[in-house]
Amino acid sequence: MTDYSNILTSTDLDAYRSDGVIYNDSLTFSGTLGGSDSQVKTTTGFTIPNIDFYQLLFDNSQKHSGKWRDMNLESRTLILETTSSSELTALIQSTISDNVLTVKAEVFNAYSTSVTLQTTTLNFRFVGYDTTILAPTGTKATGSIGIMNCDWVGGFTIPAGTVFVSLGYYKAYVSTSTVVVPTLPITPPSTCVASPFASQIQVPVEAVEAGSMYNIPPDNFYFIDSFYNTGVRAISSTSFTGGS
Amino acid sequence: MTSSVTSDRDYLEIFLDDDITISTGGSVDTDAEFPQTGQAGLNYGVRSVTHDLGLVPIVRAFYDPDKNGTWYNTRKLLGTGYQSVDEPWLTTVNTTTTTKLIINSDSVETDIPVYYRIYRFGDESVRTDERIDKIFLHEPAVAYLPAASDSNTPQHTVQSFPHGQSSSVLNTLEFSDDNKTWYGAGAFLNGGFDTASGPPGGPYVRTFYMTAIGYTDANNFYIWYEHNHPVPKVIFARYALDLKT
Repeated sequence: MTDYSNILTSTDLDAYRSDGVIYNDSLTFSGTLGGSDSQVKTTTGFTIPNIDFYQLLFDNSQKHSGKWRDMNLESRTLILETTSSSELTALIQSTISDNVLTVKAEVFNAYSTSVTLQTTTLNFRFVGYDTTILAPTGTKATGSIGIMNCDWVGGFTIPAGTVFVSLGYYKAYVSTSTVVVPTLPITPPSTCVASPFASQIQVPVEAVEAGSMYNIPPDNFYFIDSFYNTGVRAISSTSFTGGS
Repeated sequence: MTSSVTSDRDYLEIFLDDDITISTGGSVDTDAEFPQTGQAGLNYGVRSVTHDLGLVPIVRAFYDPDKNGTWYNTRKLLGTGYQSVDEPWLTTVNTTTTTKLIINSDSVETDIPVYYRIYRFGDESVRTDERIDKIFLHEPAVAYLPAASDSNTPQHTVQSFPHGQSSSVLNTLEFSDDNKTWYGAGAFLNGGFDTASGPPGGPYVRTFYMTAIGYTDANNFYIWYEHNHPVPKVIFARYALDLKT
C-alpha cells in the first residue's frame, strides 16, 4: 500500500511564477508646456527582487480610468491641451536597471506656442514574474580578443566591461580589464588587416552568460560596443574555452 | 535545468484561455475609440471576456495579423520607415471583471485569429485540474546591426531559432542595449531627438530608437531587431518559449 502522505507534489513543469505583489505608481501632467517643448516625468522606481519578465499596465485618468492597457501592445497615450483643444501624444517607456524599474512618460508639444495641459494622471501597475527554469549555473567561456589600431590619429582606452560581439557567431563577451591601445607606430595600409600587426593588444574577455555555446572558434570580426571606429579592428586568434 | 513544482508554489495559474477570431468593421467600442486610445484607427473589432477575478489580471495576448500562422504579441514591425508598424493592431483593456481584446485595422477584416491567456496568482494547494505554463526554453540572444543611413531608414535583422515543437508556441521577450537594463518587447527605446529631422531648434519629427519583437510560427521563433541610429548597434535579447497547449 502506498503511503501518499510522504509524496511531495513534483513535476517537470516549468512555469511562470510570481510573488503576487502588485506595484503601483503614477505620474501627473499639468500646467504650461512651451512651444516645441516636451515635459518628462519619471516614477520613483519599483524595487523588485528576482526580476525576469514582467507585465506593466497603465491607465489614463482622463481617457480610460480604471481600464488598464498593456504597455507592450501600446506605448503611447494622449493628453489634452486646452489652449486649442487638441490631443498631444505622450510616449511611455519602462526601464529596468538592476532590480529597479522606472517608468518615464514624455508629452510633446509640436506647436510653436505654449499650451496648457489638462491635468492628467497616468497610473502604472506592475507585476513581476519569472521562469522556474533557473539561469545557467555553469561556467563562462573565457579567452582574449586582439585589438588592432589601424587608424594613425592616436591611441585610445577600452574600459573593462566593454561588450564585444562576434559577427561570425553572434555571441557576446565582456572585457574583464581595461587596456590602452597605442597609436599605430607605422604607416597604415589601405585596409585594416591582421598582418603585419603582430603587436595587437590582447583584451581578456568572458562570455556574457554561462554555457558551452560560447566556446566558439577564432573569429576575424568583432563589433566593439560603444566604440565605433572604422579604423579599429578586433579579432580572436584562438578558440574560447571553459564554457559549460 | 528544471525545477520541481511543489505545493507551496507561487506560479501563475492559467485561469482562462481560448482561441478566438475577431472581425473588424463592427460598431465602435468606446474603449477603442480615439482619444481613448493613443492610436486612431478606422475599423474595430472587440471581444470581451468576463473573468470576475476581482483584480486586474496578468494577460498575455497573441494574434495572427496576416492569418498565415505567424503569431505576434506586439505590434508587427515593418522596417520600412521610422517606427513603422503594420496593422491590424491588437490591444487589451483590463479591469477587475473583464478583459477586452480589441483589433484595429485600416480596412474591414474577417476572422483574425487571436489567442489569450488570463492568469491569476497561485496561492492555493495544488489541484489536479490546475493549468500552468509549460516553458521549454529560456535563452539569451544578441544581434549586431550596421548604422542606419538616416533616422527614417531603420536597420533591422531577423534571427530564427527552430523551436522543435510540432505546434504553435508562445513567447516572452525583452531586449537591452547593455545586457543589464531590459525593455519589454515592442517598446521603442528613445535615444534622443534626431536634430536633422526638423528646423534648427526644433520641433523635430523623429527620435533615435531601438526595439525588438518576438514572433513564432509552426517551426521557428523569430527575433526582429531594429534601430535607426547613425552608428552600429548591438541589441541583446532574452526570451522564454512556452507551449500553447
